[in-house]
Amino acid sequence: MARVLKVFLEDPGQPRYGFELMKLTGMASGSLYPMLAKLEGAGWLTRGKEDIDPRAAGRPARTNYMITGAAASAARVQLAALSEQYRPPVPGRLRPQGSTA
Amino acid sequence: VIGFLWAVVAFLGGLGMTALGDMVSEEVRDRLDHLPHAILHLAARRLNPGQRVTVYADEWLPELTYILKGDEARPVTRLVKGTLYALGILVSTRRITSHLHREAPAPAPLPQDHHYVSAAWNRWFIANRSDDVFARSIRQSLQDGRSKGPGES
Repeated sequence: MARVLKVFLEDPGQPRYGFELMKLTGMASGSLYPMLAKLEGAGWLTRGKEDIDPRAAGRPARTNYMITGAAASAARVQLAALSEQYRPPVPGRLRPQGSTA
Repeated sequence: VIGFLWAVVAFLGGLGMTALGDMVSEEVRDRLDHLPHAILHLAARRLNPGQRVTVYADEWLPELTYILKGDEARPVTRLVKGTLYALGILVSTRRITSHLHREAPAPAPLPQDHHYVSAAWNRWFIANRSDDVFARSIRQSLQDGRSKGPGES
């Protein structure tokens, strides 16, 4: 989920599409779509329609997702906390016991 | 003369085989092009009617069309990408719909009687009796459950 949120946070105003997210996150559709549905259900993402003329494009308009303002703030806090959790320990604390330097 | 005739027959035969090969190849290509759509259609059958519009028609199908018609859509690439996309959705349809709260009608609730059927099965299994006993046991469990109410056990 962190990978998906990171993509949305790179440019919160940018609508993202399913296949684009698959390419950017390296996730398969079977993992990505349940996650998008979960985030949408939680109110973190809103859905929109691609702004194209289907006749001119020769294909139907796709559904896109955008992160909401409140969710962007919450996601930043959550990702920072996650990053803190996985930060490597401070080198000084790794000194062997008994060392004086 | 006979040699000449054989040469003509061989030439015509070769021409026919080439044409047949082309037709078979076109047929296979056409059928393979429909494979991702067929898989996605299978996934759509697991959705309720409302979700078939909001999820399948509005989201999955346009995305698959985009993948199949995209700039990088070479025949094999689009087949592989489209099929993987559709397969991924097919295997995770239940997980997707469990999180969806779109304007789709709620699925029908599961019948509560399955608890009593399960209890009947346990009784029959322990007793190891005939199917008649199992059928009577189901009826008895259903009656018990209805007389007690669904909240009581």
